[in-house]
Amino acid sequence: MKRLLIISIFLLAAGFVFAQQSTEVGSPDADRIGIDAAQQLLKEVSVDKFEKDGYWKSTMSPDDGYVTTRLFAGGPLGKEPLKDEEGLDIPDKYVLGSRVDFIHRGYTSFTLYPIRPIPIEGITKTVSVWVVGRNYNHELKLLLEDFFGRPYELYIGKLNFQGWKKLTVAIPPQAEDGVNGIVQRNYHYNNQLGLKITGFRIDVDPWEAYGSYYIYLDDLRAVTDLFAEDSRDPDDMLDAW
Amino acid sequence: MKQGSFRVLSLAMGLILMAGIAVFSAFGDENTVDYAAIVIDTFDGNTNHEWTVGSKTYSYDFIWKLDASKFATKTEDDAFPKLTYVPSWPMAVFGANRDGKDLKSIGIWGKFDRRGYNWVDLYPATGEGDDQEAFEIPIPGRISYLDMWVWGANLNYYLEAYVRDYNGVVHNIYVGNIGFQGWKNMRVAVPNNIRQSKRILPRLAGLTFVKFRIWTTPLERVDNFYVYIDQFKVLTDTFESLYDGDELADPERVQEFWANN
Repeated sequence: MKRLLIISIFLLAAGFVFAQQSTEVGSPDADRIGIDAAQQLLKEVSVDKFEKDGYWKSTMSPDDGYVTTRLFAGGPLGKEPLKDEEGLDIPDKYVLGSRVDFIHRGYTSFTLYPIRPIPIEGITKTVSVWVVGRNYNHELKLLLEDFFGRPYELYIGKLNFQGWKKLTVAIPPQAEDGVNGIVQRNYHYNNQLGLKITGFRIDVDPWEAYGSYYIYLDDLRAVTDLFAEDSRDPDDMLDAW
Repeated sequence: MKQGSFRVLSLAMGLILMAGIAVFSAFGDENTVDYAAIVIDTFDGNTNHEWTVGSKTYSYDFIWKLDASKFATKTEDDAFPKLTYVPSWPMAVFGANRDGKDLKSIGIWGKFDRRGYNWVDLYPATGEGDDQEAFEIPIPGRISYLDMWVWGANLNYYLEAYVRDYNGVVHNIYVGNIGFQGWKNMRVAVPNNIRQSKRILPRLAGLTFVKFRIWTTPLERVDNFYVYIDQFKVLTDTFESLYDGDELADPERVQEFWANN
């Protein structure tokens, strides 16, 4: 009996090690999300590095407080460069910082948004962003629009950690009928697939919604299936006229 | 009314009047303005830009560069957008140029692969080669208006100007739609919600000019377009009130005083 117990503990531990090798603990596995085509070409792409001044804005109810947003030089040390971008010398100097000054405690939220929605090429599987946490119980949500321009919000995670951390959220696959859910595919055009990022919302914990709160974001990325875009013919005409 | 009480009343009225004048003169700066029009760039192709405001001369060395959003057309042979200086100018400003001056305006030639909200940035930069980096033009005084001439091809695009305040926050100012034919003067007031003064000395907290941005709109064609800009100008209030020790709040003088430490 004792021997059986020891063997089963070993097997369980081995299982954990295997699970950790396949994917980072707690993050969704892009390979397994919404497989509805025979072929996939998953690629991690950069959506925004937060390098452009004035591109991201912020807003909150003036009854609850005021929010200021700007860029700061810096970035997470743990960030790994994208393989496709190595040697291209793409600037990655800044992070996006927001400061919220609360007027009073309460159930409130503030939104960080790009002045125009940011399109992601291909069929997006996961979206990740580096965030500085100050160990608050606030919650981060991703705001997006699907192919039809319908707004959605996805829960990314709580901000109850210290320093930089990469947070990842899985995009739920669209329904079989191609109409319901977060729709990403248009069968007419293979270069106009996908989502648009419309911002982040931070729902603040009312117990901690006082004084000043700071949040920093960097390196918004997506893992996306570029099979349809990649198999587009180079001699195909551009519908840009 | 007794004569004595009339005297007391007139004395009191006089005191109130004097107190009122004193209060208004203390806050007199709010109403004192000294507008100066500064031509930031005539886009004649010079890298040195110099303008004189009052007794001070400001001199900066920069060039203009372009940047564009993701779907800008790139082929093996070519990459868009492109920038050049063209020997053309708004007649309304320079007339027929009978003196034969070397007048130019800056031109942007853009192409995008997809329709949508694409953008092209026109921004100042300094440095040579790999050391080249964006440069923000410090504008003297408190800006009231931005003013420029734009050549439009009747495309439904729009123009924004970006300025940075003393807190480092960048504000984008909608200049206007460029859906018109040929040269047109575009002028925009800098909104009052962009703060240009602060409590702590020096009170002046001037803005820096970051860039122009041209946005395309989703229903407009983006396969090939040209935009030209000329005579970029600002109207700025350069008045600063004097006070005992104002020299110690002049950043340049402070630099001189502390240079040897």
